[in-house]
Amino acid sequence: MQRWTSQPLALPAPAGRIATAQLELQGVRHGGPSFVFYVFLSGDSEPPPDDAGRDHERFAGALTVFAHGDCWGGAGHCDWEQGPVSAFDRRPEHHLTPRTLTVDVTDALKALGDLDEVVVTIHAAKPSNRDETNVLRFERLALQAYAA
Amino acid sequence: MSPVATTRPAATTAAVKLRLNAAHMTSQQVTAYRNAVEAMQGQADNRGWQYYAGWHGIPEGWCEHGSPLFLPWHRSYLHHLELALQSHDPSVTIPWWDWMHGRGIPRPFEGDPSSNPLAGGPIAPLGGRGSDASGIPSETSREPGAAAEQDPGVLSPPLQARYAWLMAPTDFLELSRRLEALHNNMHVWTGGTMGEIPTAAFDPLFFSHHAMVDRLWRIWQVAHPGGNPPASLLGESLRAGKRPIFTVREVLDVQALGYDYAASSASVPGTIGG
Repeated sequence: MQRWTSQPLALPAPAGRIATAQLELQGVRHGGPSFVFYVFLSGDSEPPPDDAGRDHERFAGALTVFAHGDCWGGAGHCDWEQGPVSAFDRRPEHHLTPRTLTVDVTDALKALGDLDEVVVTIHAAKPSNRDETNVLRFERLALQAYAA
Repeated sequence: MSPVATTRPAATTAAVKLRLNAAHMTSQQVTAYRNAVEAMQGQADNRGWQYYAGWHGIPEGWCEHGSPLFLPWHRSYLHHLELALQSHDPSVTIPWWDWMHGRGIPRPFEGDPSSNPLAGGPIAPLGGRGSDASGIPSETSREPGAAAEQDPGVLSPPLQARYAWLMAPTDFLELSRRLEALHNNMHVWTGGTMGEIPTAAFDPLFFSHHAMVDRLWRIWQVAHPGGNPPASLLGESLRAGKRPIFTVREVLDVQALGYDYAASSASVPGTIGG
């Protein structure tokens, strides 16, 4: 299992004044086997235990990523970075172009009370191989909070 | 009591065919569907199972995931496959796997693929170059529930407790996001070749899984008239290997595609619960 803890994320308003809060994982890679991840929120950097689940007090959400598995094609088949080959290239983007995944964390954030910042911990695992630690690869984490 | 799922019966015409609950089909209906799938599995050209499975996964990979086109693309895909099945038997429709209420894989899809074509089949895209150097398995496989035993993050059916959460959004994009999340969960719960995008559609169970996804979208549509995708998406085309190449707008009305689901469905626990 992979564990990842964020740097503190500033909250734009006290939790009581937030109507909806969504956590965005930007630039998520989805080549390789399918996987599952849990999101936990807290006001400090003390991590939840490795076996924390949906019943943990800091649990905020979980997602299953239905992924592409290992590359079955020839050389270059899964090179999503190439992009358009010309200004006239209107073909759809590569199937492995990174995605943004969103987890609604409204209830979990409100449960924390009024804080200036929040720490996000993510536990990610592949059901096919729980020992693997290089599971969730993404570029950036953003907290989008919408005022009441 | 379970949620009442209602679709609109009034506009039903004689031409519209109903998709059935896979767990409640008669033996004659199961046999008809099984025969149609088997007939397609026996076709090695662009009418056959390998060809259509390849639209979603190996080699074409046209499927839409993590995209607002997720629901429309798969609706178009199932419609094309259903027409191919109906070329063998006009009476058949793709049955839906009710993972909201059922505990496992529907009985017609169980058993040994060598004697039941709904239980699985070969994976032989790319002109039969299957499991050589590419690493592609040569047969479909399933490991139902194994992922849930390994990881409590994977939910086991029935998912009825998620129904109200799923249907709560009034916005199409949020509905799509929630429905895709449950869909992902059931792919991983099923495991084996259903657990990854390139090989999933080679398993006949795939289409019944997606018929359930499509049915839930249909139920939501009836409850939210006009709850369409954003206008900017309505003219988007949905990739397919054969014409018609539908736009999003053209797949919003299932009756215009010649099918629908039961007008209503409700259930209550019996004497031994469940």
